[in-house]
Amino acid sequence: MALGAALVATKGYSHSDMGRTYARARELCQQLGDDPRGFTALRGLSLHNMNLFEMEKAQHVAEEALRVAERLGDAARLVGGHMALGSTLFWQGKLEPALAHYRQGFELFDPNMQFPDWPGAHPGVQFPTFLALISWMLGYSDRSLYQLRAAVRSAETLGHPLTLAQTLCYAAFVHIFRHEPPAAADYAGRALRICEEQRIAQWQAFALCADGWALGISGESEKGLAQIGQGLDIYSTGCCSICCWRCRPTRNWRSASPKPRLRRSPLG
Amino acid sequence: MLQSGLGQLVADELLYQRGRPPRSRYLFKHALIQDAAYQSLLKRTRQQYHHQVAKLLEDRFPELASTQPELLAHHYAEANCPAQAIAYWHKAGVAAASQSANVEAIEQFGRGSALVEALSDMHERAERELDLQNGARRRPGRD
Repeated sequence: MALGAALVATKGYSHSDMGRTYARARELCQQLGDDPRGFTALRGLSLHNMNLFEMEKAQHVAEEALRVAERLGDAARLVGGHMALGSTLFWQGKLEPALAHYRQGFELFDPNMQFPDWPGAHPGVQFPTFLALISWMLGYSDRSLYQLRAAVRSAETLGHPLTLAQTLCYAAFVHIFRHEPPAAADYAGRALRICEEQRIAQWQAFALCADGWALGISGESEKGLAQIGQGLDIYSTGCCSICCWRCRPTRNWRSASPKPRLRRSPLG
Repeated sequence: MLQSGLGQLVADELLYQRGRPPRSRYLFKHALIQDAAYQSLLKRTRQQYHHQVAKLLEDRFPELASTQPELLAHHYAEANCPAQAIAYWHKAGVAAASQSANVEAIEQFGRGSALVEALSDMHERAERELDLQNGARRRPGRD
């Protein structure tokens, strides 16, 4: 574990400090003559670019990470490489190739594998989480829930707050897609408590938005809107100085809103 | 000689004494007195004292060195021994991060990184900086 992974947990994937840290790490690996630690740097950079919506760059870096893993012939890095590339494909909507990489990675995964410097959530939980999301998107609603519950159970036993918070947020999102406010609120509330306690900014933002949706849809629209506003505020402060695409609608929405002054959430 | 010196400082009301000699603990009565005493030392003498404290902790209290690596890191940093200080800041950061105390880990990795430029060997500098930023070198199959 090192600085990069700690920054991912506290400041989020798109924070400029994270990008700088892994860019510097990659440079140092090249300076040291293709150091195998370059794999972690590439994974970190891929995540960072992906969260800035620089998808082409993210995919190239993830492909390079997978090539490094194949060259090293190390099973844990191969698992990570398939996860990295699968994720960049998933977020571009390329579900079939993403699914192929997730399946390949999950087949190679062994619960005894160590991922000490891995930036982000644990691959052993991320695989079933993303497989669940793809199942939902391909129309397999029940299979998606089954896979997601397995991912949550696995995250609960891991003792890694970032992984658990992230998995709970995705579980909340799937219940939002299914239009099930109580279940979404339950998962979002659990994620929120972990994020507040562990100061995990990015997922705190997502959990607030998910919880805000559940409040709004259950009739507490003003409270829900305030919660979503608070989530967007947290998310936008975690972004880099140029500000990513996801922050812009926040500002437009704010300026267009008839009630620009939002009340603070009781959870805030 | 040490005991009589400490006794004198207690009599002059500069230090508190806790417990009986030779197992007493001594504390400055006021932080400003501690600061004044610390600042009045010559830089080289101060560095020697920090080095002695770090070595003593390392040799005589190894459990302290493993449970509070940040203490050793501080003394080695003040003793102008950047290589040792960086190694202990790295240990402290890893220990904090393993308990998901990420804010503390960022601080500790950062303090180690701030010392990297003090290393004279360029290869060593790159290695240690990479340890702190990205993770330490591991045996194949373990990372």
